[in-house]
Amino acid sequence: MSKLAQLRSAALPFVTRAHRGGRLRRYLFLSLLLSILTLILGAWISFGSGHFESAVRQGLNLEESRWQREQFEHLIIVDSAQEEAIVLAEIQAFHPASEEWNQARSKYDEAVNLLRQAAIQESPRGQLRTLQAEVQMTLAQHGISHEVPDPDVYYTYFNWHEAQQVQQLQAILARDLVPAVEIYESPLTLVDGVRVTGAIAGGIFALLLLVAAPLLVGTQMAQEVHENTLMPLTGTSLRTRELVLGLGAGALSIVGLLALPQALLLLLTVAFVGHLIPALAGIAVALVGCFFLSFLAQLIGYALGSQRTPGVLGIGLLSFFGTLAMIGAAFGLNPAKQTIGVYALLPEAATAHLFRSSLLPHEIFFRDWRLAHEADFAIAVGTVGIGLLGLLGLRALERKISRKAVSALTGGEALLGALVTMVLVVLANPARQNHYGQSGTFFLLNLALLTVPFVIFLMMRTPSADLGEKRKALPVAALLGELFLWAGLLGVLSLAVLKRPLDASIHPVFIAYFAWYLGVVGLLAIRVVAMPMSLASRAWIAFSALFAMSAFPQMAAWVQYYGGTEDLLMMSQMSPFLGFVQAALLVAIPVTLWRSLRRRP
Amino acid sequence: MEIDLQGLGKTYDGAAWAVRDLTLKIPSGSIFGLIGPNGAGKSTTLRMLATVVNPSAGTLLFDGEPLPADPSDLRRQIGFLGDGNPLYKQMSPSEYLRFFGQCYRMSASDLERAIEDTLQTFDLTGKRDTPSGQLSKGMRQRLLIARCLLHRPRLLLLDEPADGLDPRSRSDLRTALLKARDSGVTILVSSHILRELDDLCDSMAIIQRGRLVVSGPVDEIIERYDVSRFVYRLRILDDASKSGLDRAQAVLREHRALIEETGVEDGEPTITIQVQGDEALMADILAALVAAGVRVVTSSRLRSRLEDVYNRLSDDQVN
Repeated sequence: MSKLAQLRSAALPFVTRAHRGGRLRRYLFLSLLLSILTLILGAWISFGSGHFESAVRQGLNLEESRWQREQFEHLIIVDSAQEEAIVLAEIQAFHPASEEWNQARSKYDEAVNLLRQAAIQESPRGQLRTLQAEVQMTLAQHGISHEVPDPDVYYTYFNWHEAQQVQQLQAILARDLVPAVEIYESPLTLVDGVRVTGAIAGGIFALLLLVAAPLLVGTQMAQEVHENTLMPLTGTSLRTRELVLGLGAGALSIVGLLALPQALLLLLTVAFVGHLIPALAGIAVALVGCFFLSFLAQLIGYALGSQRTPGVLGIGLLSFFGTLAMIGAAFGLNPAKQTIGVYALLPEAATAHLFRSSLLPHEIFFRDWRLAHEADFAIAVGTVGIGLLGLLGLRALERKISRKAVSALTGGEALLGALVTMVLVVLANPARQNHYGQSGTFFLLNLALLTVPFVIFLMMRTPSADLGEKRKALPVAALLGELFLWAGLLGVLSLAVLKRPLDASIHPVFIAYFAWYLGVVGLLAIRVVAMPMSLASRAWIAFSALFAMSAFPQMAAWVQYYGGTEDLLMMSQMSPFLGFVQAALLVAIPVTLWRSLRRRP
Repeated sequence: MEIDLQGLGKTYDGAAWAVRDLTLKIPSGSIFGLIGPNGAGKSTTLRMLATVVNPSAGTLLFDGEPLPADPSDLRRQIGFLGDGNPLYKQMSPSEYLRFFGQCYRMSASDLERAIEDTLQTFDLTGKRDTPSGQLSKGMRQRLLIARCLLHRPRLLLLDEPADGLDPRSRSDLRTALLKARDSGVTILVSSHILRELDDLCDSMAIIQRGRLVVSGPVDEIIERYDVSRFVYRLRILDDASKSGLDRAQAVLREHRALIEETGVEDGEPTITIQVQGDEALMADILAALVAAGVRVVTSSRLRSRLEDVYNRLSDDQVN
């Protein structure tokens, strides 16, 4: 049987299960409904005249702010014909000497204030001198003095070098101080509407793949573990890898039914009014992201499914993936030079950026083509890296479920995973752009971001209590050695990226602090996986983790700001007793962890 | 399929052995009972045989062949019901069987035919589209066993299969297992209800704390441990003079039945007796009781001979 046929045969039971009964019909109906909703949303956002739709269009740089238009075009924008009639009546009834306060008065005062300032300020050159003369003439015609109003009351300051203010002045003169009244309507054309619809389809597609898919896959795995239905499946003729892929395929087939029409809508709109390559790249990145996040969710579901209900885990996963999606969308839709590297780390950001580029490209990339190339580079590296991490996730999950390997990852696989996450984090670190920063600080920031992935990789390297083989003594030193190797490689990579030598501030005390932090984090990771935990040991591990977490910023602050031996124990600055406690814990935590691991047979 | 366990061992934590040095031979086409208290290592042994967990020590031979590196093909010949096997509550029996049939890579036509046959065999046809969550406990257990036989395995591994079954379902299960055995399937069944295994198994093994205590054909073991007694409880209707109980005790003494205990159940006297002989002797005793005017209402067997073997072994070797 070919690999593809094997995969198909492995997916078949789970896909059949997911679509059993009338479910397939219901999903198809839901998919159709979602597509119609996308079209309605697209039309509504594009052509709706409400404040919300307008705000969305302004957020996407598709529309100028209403307030700015009113100011620079000497306009009063109203929402209805009724309101228009009221404002027109106010304008008609307006007299400068009147005390009544309304929109006509407001626009008149604004115009007079601007004209007065323009009239008395030194005019620059050429045509603008003529414009100033026109201003002075208009003021004279309306019998308005040149006296500049009280600046505490009128905050508008006219500047002849501001093109928009000159435009405003011209509009006031053209309308002879009388504002125009306009009923608000969306400025978008039909083509813009198609673009917006495509962008919405892209957004829904990305949400389905990067939030809904891992959520469903992870929750399903948690449910299989929680209800012990996974065990019978491991006894069938499916290989463990096929089982893992099949379990994912069932949930993903539902997401696929919903996502496919959205992808088609996106590609259709892009084919007519956008750029196809970024859209295709966006779809590829979203698929790779989905691949990785699904295995991550399955690992979480597998690890926690026996302890927590699927519902609780589902809420947790939704919060996690939802937050990632929101952060990613913010970075992707509003690109900035400092944070462009985040596209490597967050497939959500890369997807949002690519979909936006395919339909509504951001102007920042027109101004700075180097930035556009940098974004492309980050996305390419990130996609390869995330794909590799997905493969490692599959391997780990396979070994966890089969319970036939000593550890979930081999040394080489963990090293590869650590290297990939290092590259992604170093690329994403905004401090990389700051050429004045210290290499030590850059390294520490990277290490802070990488502590969690490093801990996860170390946990996957640790022989767990239920993996079956008769074990010899736990290789604690070798495992810690791997962690220190990864940290060393991170140091080399950080220096290579910054292209600067090691800071002079690297001090033996820092090295000791750093070794303590890394050692304790490593011992905690090994302890959690390798040994059963009582209530007391759980409490001690939690406390030790908190202590290690608090030690990290202290270490960073010591490197950055202090550097003297008197500042070594920060708690001693509050109280000598607390300083003693801190010193005692610095010794007690690693010693107790080490001893508990050595006791194991 | 003939199974050979040679010095099989399993440790989960590297320290304690769940199963240790287990050597057994399970003849092809037989029903083999695995007996032991909770934590004895029965489930672990079955899981190793199901290739779900790897042995930490020893060898496992299937038809003389060692366990292959990729056991997926071998698993197509094994039906395994682990302990505490829950169903998917939203799936109906037919959907559940289809799901597992596909997991065993059965072809579509074979699968649909097998589903129909299996539903019929296990008397689930009327419930084929009812969500499993709405089935009775007995029906759910029947469905789990049906799933194990769906793909026509050559080796059937059942961990406490009679758990939760009513007497009728147990009888049906017994019939189904005997039928499977007759078609050449090797069956390994673990149970703590020894009466179920007593008449069902051809051979058996008793394990305690992961170690084998005894194994062999059931009759041989019973003979080896000199167990030829049956324990019964009689409930009789006594008259106003209360002479019924006395008459019954006199008849029992005549027939050399050992009176273990007397008591009262629902206001009427009961007598627990040990009969040193087979069921024919008990039939004679009952006839004598009736002839003596004792009004016997019920006569139920309390323990099987296998239980006596187990109890004796437990007393001598375990406790």
